[in-house]
Amino acid sequence: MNKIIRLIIIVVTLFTVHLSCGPAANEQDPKSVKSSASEPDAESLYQTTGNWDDQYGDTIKLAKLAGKIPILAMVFTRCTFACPRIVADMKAIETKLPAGKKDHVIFVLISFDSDRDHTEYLKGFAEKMKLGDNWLVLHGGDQDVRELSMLLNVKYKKTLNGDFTHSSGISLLDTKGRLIRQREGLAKDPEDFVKAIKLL
Amino acid sequence: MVNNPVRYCGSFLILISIASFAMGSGYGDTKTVPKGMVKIPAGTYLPFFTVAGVKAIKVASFYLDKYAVTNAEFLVFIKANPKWKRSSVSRLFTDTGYLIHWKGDYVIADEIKSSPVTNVSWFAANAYSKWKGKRLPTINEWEYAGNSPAADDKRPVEKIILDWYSRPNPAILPAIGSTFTNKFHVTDLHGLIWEWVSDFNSVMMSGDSRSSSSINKDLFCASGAAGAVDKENYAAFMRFAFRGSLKAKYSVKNLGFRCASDVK
Repeated sequence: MNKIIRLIIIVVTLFTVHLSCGPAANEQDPKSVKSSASEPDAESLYQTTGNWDDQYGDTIKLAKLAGKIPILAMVFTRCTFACPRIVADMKAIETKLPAGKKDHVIFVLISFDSDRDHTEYLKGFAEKMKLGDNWLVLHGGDQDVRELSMLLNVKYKKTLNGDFTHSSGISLLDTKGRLIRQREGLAKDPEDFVKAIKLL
Repeated sequence: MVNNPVRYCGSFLILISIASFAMGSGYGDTKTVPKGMVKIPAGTYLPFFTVAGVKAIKVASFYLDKYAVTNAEFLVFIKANPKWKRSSVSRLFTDTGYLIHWKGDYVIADEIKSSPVTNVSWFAANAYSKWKGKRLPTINEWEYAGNSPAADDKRPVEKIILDWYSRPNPAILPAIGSTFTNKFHVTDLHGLIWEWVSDFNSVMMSGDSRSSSSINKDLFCASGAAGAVDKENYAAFMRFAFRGSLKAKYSVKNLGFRCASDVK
């Protein structure tokens, strides 16, 4: 009996530690920004080599986004709960962009759904969500999607019906593809991202 | 006294619990499977976390390395792929603990050559696997293989794991093959190191996950469906808790990997 109580204490402690430290780990890591200043592209997400199909039927590599200011999130087009809200959060950032930055920012949605989200679904999703020309919706192979989720600190799991359980994060990259800001959760104030974009 | 295997804060993750057990008996590989790998037959297993109402997960047949990747083997990879050497590896893919137990970029102490490589990030393990023409096993594959009973140890797997959790860390990790071999002929799945899986970030936990209702819906879409089946299974709980606490660039002293590949 004692043992069981001890195990419960351990488990509770474990998650307390997880909780108290979790949010800090989601924030930007100041160290990484400093070291990247000396070695320009060592921290760039554009080191990844995966191929991605967009809603226009073109195949691109993420490096194509170099020079732009990408705001990324991972979704799937059949998602009814979180994904439309993620898009709404990104649009809230879009409406607050300073005039000088508007043309530089590109909004990128990457699908978890390697099996089903082919071009026509991406296109349909872009239309349904009324996404402008400054939005890309991407589909890739499951290993590339998994790797990108690691880089963006997004968690996801495929459910038995082919949908996905996933965390809701939005990430901001600089013009060299370095991750400079991230947040988790829905319906957050767009101001922190807008401020960060102004500094780029 | 039970040593809690998992605690972490930021990029620190301290694991206390490594032990060696009886020697593995060394099954030979058959000719049809890739060298150093074992063919795991298709089957089902009862996962620790699953969707409500699901009894067992089907796992297709796959190949799995008999042993974890050693320091010596990882050194061959580093020599062939110098961008992964300690002094120049990208901080995007590793933290500062990467290969910290090595003497230098290309130098490892003799006594750790046959020990499993640890202090490697998921990205590094993934790159090694790709370089080998393999991949990391999925959680389902790993758990399914890990559920197999020991072939050369009378204790149930659960007991082997809990005994392992309760032992202090050795200063130097024992060599591969120093624990038990299971009925799939795979060695050291428990009792030596923790191992990366390709989709470790599919473990979603928030707060006290013993109750699925506590998972924050704003953070995890459809989170209500994820819940534990066997709430008594402490050993599995610790593995999932550990995976849930990891990030892909972390280096952990007792976390290594082995590769898998598809059966064509």
